[in-house]
Amino acid sequence: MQANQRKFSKIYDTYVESIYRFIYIKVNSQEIAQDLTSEVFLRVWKSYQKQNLKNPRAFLYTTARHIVIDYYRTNKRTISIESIDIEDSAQDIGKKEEASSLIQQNIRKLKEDYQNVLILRYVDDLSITEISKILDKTKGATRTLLHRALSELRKQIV
Amino acid sequence: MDNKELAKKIRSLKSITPDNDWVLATKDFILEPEYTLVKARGFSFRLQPALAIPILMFVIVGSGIGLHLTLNNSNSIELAESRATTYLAMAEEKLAQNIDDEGIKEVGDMLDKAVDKLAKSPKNPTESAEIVEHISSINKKVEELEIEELKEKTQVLTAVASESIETGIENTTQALVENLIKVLEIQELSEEQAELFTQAKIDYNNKNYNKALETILMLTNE
Repeated sequence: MQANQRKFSKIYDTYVESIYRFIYIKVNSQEIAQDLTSEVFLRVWKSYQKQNLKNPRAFLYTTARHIVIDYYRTNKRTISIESIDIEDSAQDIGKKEEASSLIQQNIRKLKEDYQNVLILRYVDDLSITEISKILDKTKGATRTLLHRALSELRKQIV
Repeated sequence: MDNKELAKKIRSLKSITPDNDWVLATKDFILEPEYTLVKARGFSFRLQPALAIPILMFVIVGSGIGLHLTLNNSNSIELAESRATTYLAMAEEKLAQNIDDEGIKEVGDMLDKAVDKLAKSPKNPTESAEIVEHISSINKKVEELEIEELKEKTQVLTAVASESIETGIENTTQALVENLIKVLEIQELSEEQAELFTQAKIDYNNKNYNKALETILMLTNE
């Protein structure tokens, strides 16, 4: 195995779980999450071979965001949140706790920016600085976004 | 509910983890030294005859389904869309390199994965076009390089792809006819048209969607 492969292998091992989770929460399907996660790493691996990435985590999340957006853009006419929820509940009963599933459904109903900031902050435990880099926002704007996302999520749950 | 409680609930999503086998298999596929994603391609009809006709029909009928899908968001024909194209692109790319025994085995694995994905759901017109182009190219390369180990796999792949695309055509035709029936239900029809419409509904209910579509097309010409 070449040096760049070994390095990328480490990057893959470090982030595959969090990138998969980030995507899964948004698409709510194991099969689609696997496909899109593969695409993320393929695309990043391709870039990695051309240039050394200064911040692979930010690059991976940014790529994941774009791929999910592309996926929904392509499939927007045929996918509704309700239908995915039904499919998910039928397929994944017993695999996930009910509470997790409910919070996931509520997060998916939020707008994309709110989903991202909540997942990155509370599921992936990233700092505001790291999130601001991934979302390409200032730290202040990221804090505000997080605050608004929490408020919106609370409204969904109540 | 305060922010701490809300954060705790969100953190419960940490329990989502990918399947370990998938994680390892994907890493193996990705970390090929010269691997690069195949760039987007244009559609070409340099296809095997067995696939050319279904795909052409599918593309034609598919243009009609766009209307139906716009009107009926609950339709989930494309919901389970999988990415057989990713595996096919990887196999195609691998075959373009100087392939050794290990590479042949990997291509075989990719083709198996593609077959698995293809068998799971019908395809939309765009994806079908990509699938057919990839398969056509892979078949050609396998023949050229005389890779006996892969010949059987490519035959299975071609057969499964044909079946998947045919299923897509049937589903598309069904959805199209269903939508046309809905539209015609509220139209004022002549006696001859009403007769044909009744026949079309009978054909539809008997799952003879092609016949139903044909009758509806005759009806609109009356």
